[in-house]
Amino acid sequence: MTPASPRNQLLYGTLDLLILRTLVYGPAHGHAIAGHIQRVSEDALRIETGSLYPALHRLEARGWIAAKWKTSDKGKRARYYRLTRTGRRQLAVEQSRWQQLSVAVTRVLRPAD
Amino acid sequence: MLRQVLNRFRCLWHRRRKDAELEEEIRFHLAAEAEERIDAGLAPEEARAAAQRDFGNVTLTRELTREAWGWAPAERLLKDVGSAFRMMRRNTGYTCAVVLTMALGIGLNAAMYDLLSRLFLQAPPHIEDPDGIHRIWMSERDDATDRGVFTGPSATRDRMDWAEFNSLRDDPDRFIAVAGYTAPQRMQNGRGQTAEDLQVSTVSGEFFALLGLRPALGRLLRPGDDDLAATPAAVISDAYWRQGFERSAEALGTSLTFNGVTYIIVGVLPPGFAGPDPKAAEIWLPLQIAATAIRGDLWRQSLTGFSLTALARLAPGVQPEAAAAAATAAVRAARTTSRLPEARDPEPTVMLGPILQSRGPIALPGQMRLPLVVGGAALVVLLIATANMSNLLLVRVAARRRELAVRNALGAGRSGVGRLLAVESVVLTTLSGVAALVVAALAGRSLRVTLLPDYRWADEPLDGTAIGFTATAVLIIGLGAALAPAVYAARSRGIEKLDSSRGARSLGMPVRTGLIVVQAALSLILLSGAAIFYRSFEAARQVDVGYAKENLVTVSLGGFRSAESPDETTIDALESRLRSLPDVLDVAQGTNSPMGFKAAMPSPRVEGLDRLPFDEGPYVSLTTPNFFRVAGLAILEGRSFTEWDRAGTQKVAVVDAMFAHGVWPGRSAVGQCLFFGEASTDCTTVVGVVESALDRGLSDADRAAIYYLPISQASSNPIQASFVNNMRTLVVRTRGDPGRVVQPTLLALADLFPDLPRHSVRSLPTVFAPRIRTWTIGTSLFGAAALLAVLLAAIGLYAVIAFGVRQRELEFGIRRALGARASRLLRMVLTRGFSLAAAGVVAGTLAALWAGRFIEPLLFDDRTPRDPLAFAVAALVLLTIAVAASLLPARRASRADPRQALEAE
Repeated sequence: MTPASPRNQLLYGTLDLLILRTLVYGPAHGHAIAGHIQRVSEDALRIETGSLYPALHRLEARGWIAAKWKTSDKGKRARYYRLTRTGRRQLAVEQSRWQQLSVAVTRVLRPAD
Repeated sequence: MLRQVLNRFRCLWHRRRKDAELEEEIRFHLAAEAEERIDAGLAPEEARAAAQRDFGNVTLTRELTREAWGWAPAERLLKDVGSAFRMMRRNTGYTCAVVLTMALGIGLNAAMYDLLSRLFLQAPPHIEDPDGIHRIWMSERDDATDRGVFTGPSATRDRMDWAEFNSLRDDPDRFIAVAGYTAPQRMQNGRGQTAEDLQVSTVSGEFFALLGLRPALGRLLRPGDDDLAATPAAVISDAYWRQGFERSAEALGTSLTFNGVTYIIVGVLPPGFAGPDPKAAEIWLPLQIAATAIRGDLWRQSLTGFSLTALARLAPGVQPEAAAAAATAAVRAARTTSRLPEARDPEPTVMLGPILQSRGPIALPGQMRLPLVVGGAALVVLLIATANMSNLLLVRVAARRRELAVRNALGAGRSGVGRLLAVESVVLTTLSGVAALVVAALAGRSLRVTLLPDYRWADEPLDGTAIGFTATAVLIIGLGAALAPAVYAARSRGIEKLDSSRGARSLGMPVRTGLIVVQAALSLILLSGAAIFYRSFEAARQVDVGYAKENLVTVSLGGFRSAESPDETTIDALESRLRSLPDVLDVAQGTNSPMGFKAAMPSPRVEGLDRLPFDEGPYVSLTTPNFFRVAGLAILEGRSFTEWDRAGTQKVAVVDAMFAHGVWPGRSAVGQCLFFGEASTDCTTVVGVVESALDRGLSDADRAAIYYLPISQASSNPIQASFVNNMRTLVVRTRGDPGRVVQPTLLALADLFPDLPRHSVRSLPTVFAPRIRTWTIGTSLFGAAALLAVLLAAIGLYAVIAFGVRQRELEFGIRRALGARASRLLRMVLTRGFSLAAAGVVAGTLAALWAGRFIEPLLFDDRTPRDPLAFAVAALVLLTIAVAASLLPARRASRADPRQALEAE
């Protein structure tokens, strides 16, 4: 019954945030999303497929993203995900939560004076 | 949230497609990855391998993704449901037993609940603010001595006469509105063969406005209609509109004729409304016009037999107590100024009750109590059904311990097994619920007809309330019954139980035996109830009413206003037509209808007595000579009338035994004189004594003295002559079933007396049957409930005993091997079944003795519910059934084969 936990070192829930943020630029298929995250993070974040697809489908089930089959630029049928309106709202929520978290972590890590 | 759920369900249905899509998505990913590597310069083979390697475990990813779809619980549920259906198909007998048990238990109760809620809880539909309407009750003392001393028992009725009703209407400070109505009464529309009997209620002008009713068509009766000068108007029910006019608007303006007055239909009531009481009316007429047509001009005076029920709405801010006090004063004032104040308690007390008559201030009349008692019996059946279902489920679990242990061992987990059992119970109960609705619909209809045959129901029995009741009961009972087995199953801890089934005996055994004892006890309550009712029924049925009631039809030719006195030639023509019917043995004439209307004249005087010693009567009937023979009354002493008793010969009379013993105790009545008229010295000689008849009720207290005079000597006395003219009744003795004579008699009547209402022809069995209806219903319904209960208890007992025997097969085998005789093993098992039932008998008897108080008021002639014979019979039946139910498993035990038992181990 436990939900699929991200198998990489990402904090739980962070993957969702990354996916939602990536989709702001427009619809993309799973492979492109993983590639984008990896590129933008300059290879710091590698998304494992074992986490990516469960996450995509979970977000879809929640209605934050929607999927549609389209022909990719390579001429093959691919499943494209796009951000829904609720997904956009959720992105804002997750983003602010992440900011709070990162501020908090930074405070903790600040060397003791 | 809702969208998510819907989404999940949608997913569930598209499961296969989604699987294929996921497959394609992963393939695309791998292809895209490989292409990327090829672009980077890798060989295609190598690139594909790398992509695959990078992806990792495809199956795991697929599984994890599927979990993300949120199907897992639903998928499991589907699997469990499927498994439940397979289990049910494998165990058809068990499934049928459970479904039937619950369907009967719950269905019966749903029907009862529906009936009772209509009697006691719900106001009739379409009434505006029914809680604001009060029914007006009046409590008064009876005159114990007939001399103006009001110390008798107090009676409370929701009836009053016209003067009392009017006194309430003049109090606008306390009552916004007061309306009166008469209970629905059978009246005949039209005449001759096309006449129809309709249930007619008469209402005062304010009635419909007070209830806040709106017409479905036309208009309702208004105060202006309730006026002797107004054009007679009528309002009809939706049911009659449908049945008589097929809901056509042409009904408006059509006329109905009752008692010689023609009423024009002006409106139709909304569907479902048939009056404030459960007894439904079809036609509503303006009260004053209808009462005058039925009763002449005198009905407004007190003590003419006219009474109505009043409903009132209080003025704002007036407390019911204050209004009741004011009404009490008004009614007392009305009584002191009425014409015959000395005949009535001058100080009645007015009380206000809810609109529902059944919720009034007085104890329940039998008619209302019986449904309650039957409802109690239905509840007992439900308890038994629940116990039975729980028991069956427990036995199933125990029998399936191996299977469940295997499931446990294979990793189903405790919650998994528990869930499986819960799903099985839910599936079973759902099936039972559907079956229960069918039972409720069928039982609802017949219960209404059986329990309250006088009521016509305006709606169908199975409505939202009944369905809601069924659903709730199914939910509570189904889950409740499933709880125990689920707990037991969860508690059983896998592996160690796999290897042996011996430990299983302890599983829930005390609970199961307890449930059996409870079932037996409850069955005994119902069995003894049925037996007690049956004893009352038999006693009541065998009451000797005097008349040959099995073979009589009576035809009342008088006693109604609109027709003129029937003339002798037509009566003779009718008599000879009846005589010519093949099933008619003989026809006599009288002025009293056997088991019907009775009349009294000014009492005859007897030498030496100021007043005849009777509280009631004596009544009189003027008869033809063959009357006693035809009616089946035996001459105890002296002679009957003969053809020689004519005008001019010695005047003669016959008295009944009660008259004779009351007036001339210890002496022979024959030869004594009766004197008619104030100062008459003209002796009417008593020539015979005839047996007493029971015209009303069933007990000796209902008997009233009567004397008989010959019709042929009536002409010299004007009162007697008017009796003969106005109240003639033909008494027809039939060969076999008198019902066969009713139809030809009605045909003859339609030809010769077209104005007579159809109900002037009655066969005595149909008159008698309602008098013993309480016990007929009590016996049949309790009998049916008891039958059901015993059947269920037998199934339960059989299941438990059979299971016990199966579990102890090894033990029985060993016993046999050690030399125990088969008969001894047989006895062992039978004793177990017997002792369980015996424990139930003891507990049930105690409970039934306590519960007896509820049926005591319903029993015939002060019979007691603590009837040893009834309990003995009930116990005997139960114990016999118990032994019979254990017989099959007992034989199995006695045939236990030691070798087989050991091998099975």
